[in-house]
Amino acid sequence: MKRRHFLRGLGGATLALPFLESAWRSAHAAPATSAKRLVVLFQMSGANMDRFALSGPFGQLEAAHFGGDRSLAALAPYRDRLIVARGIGTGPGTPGPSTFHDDSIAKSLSATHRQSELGGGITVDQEAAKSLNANTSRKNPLTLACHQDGSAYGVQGVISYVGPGQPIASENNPRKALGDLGLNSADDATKAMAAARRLSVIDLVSEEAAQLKGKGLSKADQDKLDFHYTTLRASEKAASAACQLPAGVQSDLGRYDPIHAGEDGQYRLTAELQLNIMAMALACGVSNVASMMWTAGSNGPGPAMDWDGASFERNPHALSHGVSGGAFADLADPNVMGKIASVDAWYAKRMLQLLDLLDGYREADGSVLDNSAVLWTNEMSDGGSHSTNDVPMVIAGGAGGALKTGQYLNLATAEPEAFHENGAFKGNLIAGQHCVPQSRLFTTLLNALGATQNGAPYERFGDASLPGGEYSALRR
Amino acid sequence: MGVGASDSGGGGTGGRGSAAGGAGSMSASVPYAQTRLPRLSHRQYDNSVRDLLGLPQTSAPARDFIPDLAVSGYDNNGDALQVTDTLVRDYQRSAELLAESAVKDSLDRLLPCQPQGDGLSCAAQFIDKWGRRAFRRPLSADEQASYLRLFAGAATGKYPNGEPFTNGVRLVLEAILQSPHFLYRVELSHSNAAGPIQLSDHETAARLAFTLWNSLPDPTLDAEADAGRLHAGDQLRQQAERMLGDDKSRAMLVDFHQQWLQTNRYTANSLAKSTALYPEFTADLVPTLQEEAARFFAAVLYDEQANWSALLTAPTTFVDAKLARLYGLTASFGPGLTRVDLNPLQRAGFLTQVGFLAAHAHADQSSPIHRGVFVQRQLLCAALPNPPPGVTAGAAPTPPEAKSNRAKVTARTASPTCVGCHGLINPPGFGFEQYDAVGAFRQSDSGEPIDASGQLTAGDEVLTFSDGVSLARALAGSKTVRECYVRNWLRYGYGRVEQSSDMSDIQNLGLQIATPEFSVLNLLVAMTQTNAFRSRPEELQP
Repeated sequence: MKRRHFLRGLGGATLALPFLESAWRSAHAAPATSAKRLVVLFQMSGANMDRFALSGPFGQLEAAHFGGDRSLAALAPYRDRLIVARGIGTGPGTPGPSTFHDDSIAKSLSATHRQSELGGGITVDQEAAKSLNANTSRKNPLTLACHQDGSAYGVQGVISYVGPGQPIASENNPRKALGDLGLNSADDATKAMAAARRLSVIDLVSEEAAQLKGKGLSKADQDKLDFHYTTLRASEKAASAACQLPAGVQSDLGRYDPIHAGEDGQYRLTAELQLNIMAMALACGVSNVASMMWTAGSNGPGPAMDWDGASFERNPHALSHGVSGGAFADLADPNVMGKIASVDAWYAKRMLQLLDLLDGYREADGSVLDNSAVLWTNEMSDGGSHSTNDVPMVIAGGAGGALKTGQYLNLATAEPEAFHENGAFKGNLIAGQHCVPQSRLFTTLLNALGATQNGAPYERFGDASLPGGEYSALRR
Repeated sequence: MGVGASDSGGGGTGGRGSAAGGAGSMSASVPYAQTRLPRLSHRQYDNSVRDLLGLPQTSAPARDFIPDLAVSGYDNNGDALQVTDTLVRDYQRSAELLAESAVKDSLDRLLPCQPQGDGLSCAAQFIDKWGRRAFRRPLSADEQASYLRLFAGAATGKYPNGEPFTNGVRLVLEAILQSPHFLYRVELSHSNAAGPIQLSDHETAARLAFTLWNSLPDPTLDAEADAGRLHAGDQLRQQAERMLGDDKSRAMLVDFHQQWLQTNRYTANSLAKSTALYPEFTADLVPTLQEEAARFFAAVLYDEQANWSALLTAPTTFVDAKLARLYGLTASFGPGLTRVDLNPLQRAGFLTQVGFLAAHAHADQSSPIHRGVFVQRQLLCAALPNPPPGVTAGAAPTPPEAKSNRAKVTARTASPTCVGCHGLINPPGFGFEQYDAVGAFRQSDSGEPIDASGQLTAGDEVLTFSDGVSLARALAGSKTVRECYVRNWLRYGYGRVEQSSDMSDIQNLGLQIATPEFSVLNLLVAMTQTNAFRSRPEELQP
């Protein structure tokens, strides 16, 4: 079975699912274990934390935890491969402005204070890509978005940073995202010519960049040139990736309408397409790190959910502030929290969809999901109070056996850590306790996935004022 | 202060001391440390390849690139224009596609000569001419030789078909369009002396063109730079004035106002209205409203060369049949946009136009808060914080006696924690209460007469107004708003956030645009006369 697909992969033919070898591994000596992957799904405007809480005690996850009206009900089938971690805050970490959307979005994945108009430090997806993407064509993770592009929304339109004030935009158009995977179905002779042509161009312009660097440029300008032209050289690897979207998804791609991408009806379709493209890119070895910014932040006009049984007039940001209808028509809508829970439940189903896709790609030592850590998080917990305490953290996949899955974890502590909390502490299961920073969660995930810094496991991640070390409860 | 520009061109004599006269004046401002390699913005890339390859106006390959982020309001901030690996591949794909279609569709137009024999001589001329335009400076002998070698190498094993000469040109195009000298605005001039460094003529030409056109220099400007004629202020000014006559400046001016006044953010979602109350306000109006604003900016500020204040005072706009009804116009209109004069008692400029008013409103009611925040942030450049954590619109109940929107908003924002900001936000917002959720003029609100009067503090000025028209006029006469307008132009024109060293330019230019005869086009010329525009900061340690 394995051998047959291995050979077909070399020939550039479609690789049959569910078993798949990445082109990188086909073309090179197969490593003993499969690549490790990190995925981040990022929701905006907070959640209904009362319904996000599971209905059962902390400890091993059982079916009953997901019962009734829980927002995470859809994820019950994956309960043995999940960690639902409570008590993690993504707050400021260092003294600074209060937590508005600008700050909470910039801080979430970087665990740093927002130092300038744009962003804090490097985010965990970009940090992970340094190690996990070493053998791929990509330096940056695959950064996707589902809603309108974030370009008009400044800091609220970006979740990924390579450094302070250095944002990485997300691609919201599935057609462009697919095109950028560099999949190439041409015959070998044509591919060889294209490679020779590109190489001659790359040699010339790289030499120009090298000479420019010697003209007394600043370190930042030299780094910019280095990044550009070493990335261009690495792009050659992408051309050999041989994999295809399922036929049904290909035909759905034809229905995608970029002109109306920001409108409600296109949102579901875009989500399906982007998740399929993401899963395929991870399985094919195009990138081992991916992120999805579902929508831009509060000042982006995120879609009002008008599908799957919901018919809301306002988007999740408006809902989070209790505005579910017109200006003052129903400010105190008694159902507004229920509507927010419906939004959360819808995103739980998107998580389910991604987990199904990743689990469908089998590799030598389990499924792609088994070799991944999929983190679904949010810029806030309770959106109405702009709280960044006890932010939703749902982790799926075992990172190749390094994570201790099947747990409902309370990481909150009785005594406050050196960590700036803010807003009301929402979540009635752990009221009265204190949250712990996301920096240690990210350190845990980086190390569980085998990412290294100077050849050694990470000691810390994020702002220097935050504590280092891992959360050992997540590790086997 | 030594100002030796080392690049080709006028040498070290610099125009630092020469009085610009007329529109501009040389200030003592010192530019701040900035990148010497700002990447082209996507708009600049599109315009540049269009100019280089003679592509139609509709050609916009960067539309398929990963988008750039707007920083401090604008998508051309040099410090924020990062390169991601996605964008590197976007550039690669685009270069390959453009090169392929260029040799197929327009090779004859691109070539300065007829290829003879092995074509090397003609290829060298092509590289010399086309490469020079793409790099905004003459190529060195080494560069010419490299590209000629690339050309010759295309003859074997690079393309499955095609003539060797054509393939050679195609490969050269692919490379130049991915060269750092094309994709980045390289500023290499340096000086051994302390202080700001005068840009070379070629660098100045590139700044002029990318600022006034969002594109690269044309052959005329290239020739001026080659002749070393862009050092003195009056020569620079003559070129700026010439360039502003080109439609590329018109497009640039529209783009600036679209970004500043955020008309590029109008979407079907942000303009969704109650179908029960406003059945005629449908999603197909959104592109009309964007076009209305663009046509207004271009007509008033470019075609008529008005003073900036016309933006806030001109009782005119562009309507089609559907939009005309929202303005209460009874004449019949066709499907296309037509210029109309509006009732000057009801409308004055952009802030009283349907697009702005509807985009800053709820689905079923006006929103003084959204309108007021816009005035504070975009027109007064106020650093208004975001709503504090814990704000929940449903928290404070509306008293039953509050009927009008103004009364409700006043009641709901009256608490001591609110008034700090809402004391600034609400007054200008209330000024537009005569316009409903879709920007139509109304005489009453919820059965109550409308009170659109108020007072607004702008710097050390107090603006008193009775309605939207008088508020717009008061803003147009405000020094704070003038300086905010200039500040935004500097952000956009210089591609960076303003520094404290820019403040004297901002004040000076703010004063100049107070003169009614001083048009926005005059302001653009003046912006090219500052030291900040014509020099770059002293180098930091490499």
